[in-house]
Amino acid sequence: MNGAPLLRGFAPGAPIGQRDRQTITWERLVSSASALAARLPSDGYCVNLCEDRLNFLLGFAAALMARSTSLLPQSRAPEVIRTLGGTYPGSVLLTDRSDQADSTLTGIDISEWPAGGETACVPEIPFAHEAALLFTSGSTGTPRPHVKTWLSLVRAAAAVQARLPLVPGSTLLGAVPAQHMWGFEMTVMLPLQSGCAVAAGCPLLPAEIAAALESLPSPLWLVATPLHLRACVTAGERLPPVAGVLSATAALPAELALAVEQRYRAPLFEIYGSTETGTLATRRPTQTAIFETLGEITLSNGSGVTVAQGGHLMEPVTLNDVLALHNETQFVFRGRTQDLVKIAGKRGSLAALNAELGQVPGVKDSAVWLREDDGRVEARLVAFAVAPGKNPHEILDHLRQRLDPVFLPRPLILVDSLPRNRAGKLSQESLRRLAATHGHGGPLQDAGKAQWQEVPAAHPALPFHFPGDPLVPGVWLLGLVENAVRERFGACLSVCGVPDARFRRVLRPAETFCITLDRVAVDRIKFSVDTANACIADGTLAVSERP
Amino acid sequence: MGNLPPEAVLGTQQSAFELELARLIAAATNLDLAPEQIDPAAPLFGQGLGLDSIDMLEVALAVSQRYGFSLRSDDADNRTVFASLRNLAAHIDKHRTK
Repeated sequence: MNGAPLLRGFAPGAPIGQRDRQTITWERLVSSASALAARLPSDGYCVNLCEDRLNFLLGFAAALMARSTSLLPQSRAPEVIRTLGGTYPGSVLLTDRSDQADSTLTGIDISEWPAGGETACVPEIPFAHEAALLFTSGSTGTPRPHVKTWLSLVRAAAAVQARLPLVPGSTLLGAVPAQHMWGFEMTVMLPLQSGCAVAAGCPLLPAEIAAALESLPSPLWLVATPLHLRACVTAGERLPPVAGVLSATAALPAELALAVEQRYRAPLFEIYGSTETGTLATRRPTQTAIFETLGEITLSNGSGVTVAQGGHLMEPVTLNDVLALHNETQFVFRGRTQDLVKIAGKRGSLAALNAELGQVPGVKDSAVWLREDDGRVEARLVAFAVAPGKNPHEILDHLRQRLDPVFLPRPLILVDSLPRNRAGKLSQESLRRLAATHGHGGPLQDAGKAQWQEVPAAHPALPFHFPGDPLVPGVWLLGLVENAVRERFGACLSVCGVPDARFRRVLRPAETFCITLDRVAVDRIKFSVDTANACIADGTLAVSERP
Repeated sequence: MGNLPPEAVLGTQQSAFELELARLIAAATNLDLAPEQIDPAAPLFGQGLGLDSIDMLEVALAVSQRYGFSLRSDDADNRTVFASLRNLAAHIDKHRTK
């Protein structure tokens, strides 16, 4: 048979799983999977929703042995599962939680592993077998399936293992679900094909990750995302040293990579890939900006897109990212193609999200913007809507019914109009500015709501300043900024200097403007005075607390 | 729940501490929630408010900074902590160090 074994690299009695400080050997997995395989449809489909990674592994192994295809949906929502059952008739639902049963599908609860016979013979799986289907959902529309043959999965796992200093007998702890391509490759395929064990849990919060790491044997690898890593660094949780950290799903800033390496005293590898392609390239972000492709994979640019081919890819794949190629195996990641956003590993289209917002009754105009600079653990969408007579809660209630929660705008800002240019377009900068004028521009969480003010048409200072061409003197503006500081932070905070101020445009009588304040340090406040479409002045104030 | 009057604990009305926590959640998640309108007994995550796992991370970080202890959600007992504003408030009240 033209195929590859289910698992390789394991000595007799070696662990493939760790759960509650107990070891599960690969022999136990194979014998239980063989018993379970007898109950699964041959040439059929198994929806694997198991949350415990070892239960997932059992279901996946059994499906392979039965020559069934595992369906790995991104969402556990009942309607998603029902639709999947309709598209793939005869699907069996493998779960480990009773509340996931679905009346339209035959369900098998595999939280209790079936007792198997005395096997210790590793099954061989044909290369051409369609081992898994993963889905890209975006924010709307029908999920698109991506076929993973056993050959492509085995090749990708071998290429990843060849790249990393991962020794057989290591344990991997995943903070990403097994149903996500990144989690599936690193915490299911990689251990199976490299003689490593995987931890059962899927910790999310920093304290959980720390506790899980403490409970596992060394050498230990953490499989996470920038989101988890940023939270761990921010929380300052004490963490045991590990042998390595793997990060993917979003670009990892260099300073975060450095903080992670210091905290875990281990090398951090960033993996570049996608659901369509699986892992394509890796880099050590503390050492280089350049990604190097895995094994035989090559990249080429053509008509504005990058195409990957070779290696474990069964056919050339067009990538959704902007890559600056140095040569056919080395590149720098520049970002996603304009319209795409990725939040919590889920990909969405700004245009599709905006269309969804535009369909909410009462919304006349709208825009969606990805805000990446506010110091939260993950970038979030900010939405603007022109919806006279509506309040944000009504619109959000509407969106909640239709969008994955990760794509809900945080926040939704109601405006009188959008700062469109003459061509009707909205620039990123104008949206950033619009958010700032509504109190969502600064990195600190106490950034206050901006108040719109109007220059009084008959302000006595104005006509005399430049006769015939009245404008608002800068010193008057600074006085207003000082008032705003007093209003926001109370009388105990006083302005003791203006180390930096730029006046960029004149402000004329009857114009409306607003002041944004952002306390960037104990003794510094950044300020900005803006009209709806231009910055009038900005700079920094030195402040001190009065005793 | 310390020394709060029993009706604040049993009714659907928020206690003072639940309101404080609701404000923290609204600020941490940046969702347009009206903090005083969050039903203290209703689910916080999933359906209802539409909070997701990233929000849970944000809330956990904000709680550890404000109240000086780490939240966990990784077993059945811990999951009930996040089930509602009321449960979360009671849990924090019991474990806070500041």
